[in-house]
Amino acid sequence: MRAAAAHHPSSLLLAAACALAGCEGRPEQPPAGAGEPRRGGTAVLGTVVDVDNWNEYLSQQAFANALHRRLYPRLAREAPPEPGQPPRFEPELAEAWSFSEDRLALTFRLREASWSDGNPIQASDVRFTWRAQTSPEVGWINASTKEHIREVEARDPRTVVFHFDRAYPEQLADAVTGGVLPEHIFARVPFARWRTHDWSSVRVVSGPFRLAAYRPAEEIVLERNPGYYRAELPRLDRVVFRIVPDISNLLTQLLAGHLDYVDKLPPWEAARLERSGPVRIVEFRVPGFEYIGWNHRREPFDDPRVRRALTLAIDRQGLVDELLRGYGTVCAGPVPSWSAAADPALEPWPHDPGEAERLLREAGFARDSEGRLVRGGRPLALTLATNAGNRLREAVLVKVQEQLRRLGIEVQVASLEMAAFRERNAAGDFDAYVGGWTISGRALRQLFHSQMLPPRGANIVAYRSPRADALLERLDAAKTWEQALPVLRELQRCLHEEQPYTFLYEMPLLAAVAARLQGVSPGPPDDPLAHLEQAWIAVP
Amino acid sequence: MIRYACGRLLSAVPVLVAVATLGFAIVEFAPGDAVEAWLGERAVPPEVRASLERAYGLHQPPWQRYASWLASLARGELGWSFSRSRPVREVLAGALPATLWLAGAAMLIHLASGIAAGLIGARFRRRWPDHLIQALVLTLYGMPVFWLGLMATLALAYRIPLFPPSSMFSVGMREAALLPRLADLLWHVTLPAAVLGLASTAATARLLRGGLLQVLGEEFLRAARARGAGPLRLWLVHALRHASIPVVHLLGMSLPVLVSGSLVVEVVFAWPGMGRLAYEALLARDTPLVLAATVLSAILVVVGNLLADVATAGLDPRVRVRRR
Repeated sequence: MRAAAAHHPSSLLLAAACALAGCEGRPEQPPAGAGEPRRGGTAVLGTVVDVDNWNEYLSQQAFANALHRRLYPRLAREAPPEPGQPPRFEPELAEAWSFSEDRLALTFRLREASWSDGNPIQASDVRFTWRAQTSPEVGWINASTKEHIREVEARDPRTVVFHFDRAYPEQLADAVTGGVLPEHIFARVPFARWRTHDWSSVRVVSGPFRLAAYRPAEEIVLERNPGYYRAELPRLDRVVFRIVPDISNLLTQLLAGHLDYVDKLPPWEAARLERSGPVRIVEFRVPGFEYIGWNHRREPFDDPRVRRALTLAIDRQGLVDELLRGYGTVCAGPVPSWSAAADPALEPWPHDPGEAERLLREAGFARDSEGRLVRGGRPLALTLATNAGNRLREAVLVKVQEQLRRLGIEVQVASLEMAAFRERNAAGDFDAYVGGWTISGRALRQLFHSQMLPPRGANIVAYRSPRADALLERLDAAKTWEQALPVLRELQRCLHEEQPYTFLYEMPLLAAVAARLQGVSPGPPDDPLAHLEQAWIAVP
Repeated sequence: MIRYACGRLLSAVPVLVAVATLGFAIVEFAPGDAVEAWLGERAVPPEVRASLERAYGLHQPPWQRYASWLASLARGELGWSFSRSRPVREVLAGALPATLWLAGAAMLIHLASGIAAGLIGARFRRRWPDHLIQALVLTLYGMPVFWLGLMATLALAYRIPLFPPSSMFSVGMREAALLPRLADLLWHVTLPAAVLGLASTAATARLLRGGLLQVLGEEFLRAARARGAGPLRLWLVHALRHASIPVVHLLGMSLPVLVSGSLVVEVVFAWPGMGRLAYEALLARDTPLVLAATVLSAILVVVGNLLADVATAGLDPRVRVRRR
């Protein structure tokens, strides 16, 4: 599950923290003879999904968003991280920016750049984009990133000022979220008709690439935008995405030399390819985690001791080793372990069935003659569900069932069709489920505040903790990174102790890259295709 | 004959309405809704959800949406596909040619292999070529199509790279001149069409073999032989014509199956056709697209049956359309 769009004003610096650390990964080793970066050539990439909409503000899809960012850059983008430091941003369409003294106004100076049709990029485009982002008729799913922006003022053609209703640490990140659209093209269609307009024919862009051809369910062709403001980039002439809904077929094509790049690899395929394939595996850090959500509305999951015992009973490192083939990290909480916001003192709970049993005894459970844990004559039994078709989560169900059964806990497993799974979870009609969150933005309030039960928020497990609520409120009130960081770390400790979830692991995005495609290295965690700008085709 | 065909098509209208109604009900009463399916695992504020529902008319009660859809259909409009962000008409127009290429090629392969297998089976009845052919077609019939597709890909696209593993065209060939483009398309369609066509050869082969064995002792064949017809003419013209009547019926019924039921092959070979489209539309709860694909499939059933009847009338002198 994703908590991507469900932001709240002051909850935390997660986006910043994620941006801080995402750029490490296995360093790429160019094959012998790969040579220096050069221009020209076509890279062919595989994808299992098609683009859901060519208008960024009507799309909800990560893949589509990664392509939108190649066509419509932002005012600024996250810079490579520096451990322990607040997030930094690099200029894109804006060449400079500054805050007013009270931090309620943020002024951007736009660079001299043009749309691909020759019209200049102006402050009015930025203002128009903000109007689209916040229009209820458009219904952008990330509109909450703009909720503290009162007005966007086009002071002159190259100066744009964002006026905020309050100061908070993520002001810059919120201001630059979303690509800038050409007003003279997009304003031709009223916002009310955006959702029933076909945007695939728009060819006016400002990014490194432009859309050359789109054949639904078949192929997407991007070509170099000669008018891109960084004249030396991109290096590739064309990038072709082949849409193939089956990952096995994609891998066959990769191995047969028809494709240069495939991502979203299952870990077992990545391990197999890394052992034997003529391709290299690149790991992209993803700001997210997999977890088991316990339903706090039901006994005994309302007891933090029971939840911690269940966490201690599960061998999460074993899951990483066996199911993820080592491509992952056991996590201590919701904040990515590699981000600057993560509490370095926090260690994941170990696998300790003895301590788990002790905690369960403390909570009133005892073994009966059949070895089951019972309390008040009722055995500790639960149904653990997940969404059908997710092979990894289904494998987790079976492993966890086996491990909890060893402790005397009866576990039934269920794989449910996604809609039924969501409906059941939203209604609170479950014992426990295996899910995952990809966190972009400040999502902790959505996940853990007691007022954020569905449908208002994403606190599916109905976690109610006065301590966590108070910390989330304090995070909301923080004005700077320095003020927010200690509160955020205390919140992580609170979640670690109270275990609203059993935090399982963080899992990277795995990509297989053919030898001829060079320059592929992980970029910002929220932009897995950022490398396309720098990538090049090696001389055979 | 034309009046008969028109009458048959008109009588199919209530069937089409019934199919559309059933399709709508199935999509409508499944758990979740289109907005949930579109949002996937994302959590969004209620106001965003309300905005999405308004944009696609999902805030209206189901009967109202269905009535609007029927009214649009009567005007020749198929609505907006919210999963593809394009008009349904355009989405179908994009997928149908791909499917017709695949189904057409599969039908040819199916016919050629079925007739050949049926003839060999009947000619060499209970001898080793018959046993071999029967074993082969039944093995192909018994294999799951996805497995057959994957094995064919591994063997003939990867180990021995004779064919491309998927897609309809090679990179850049869409823009090529007509002949190279056609050649590229034929190269790409061969493997999926062979999988789709050969997987169902058994039914045609066995029907034809049985039919041929039945007519071999008939009087009209003896008469033809007495009139000096050679063995080739006897088998291919006289016997085959009679024995193929049930096969023609089967092929008529197979048309919609080939068009909309080729989902597995389309997924395995990344073929951008109707089967994949209908399946993805169903998962996305894209009601206008599901309904359009369902109605199109139902039309193909009607047309397939009609064509089978017409072909039967042409093949069998005993069948005549009653003229007024």
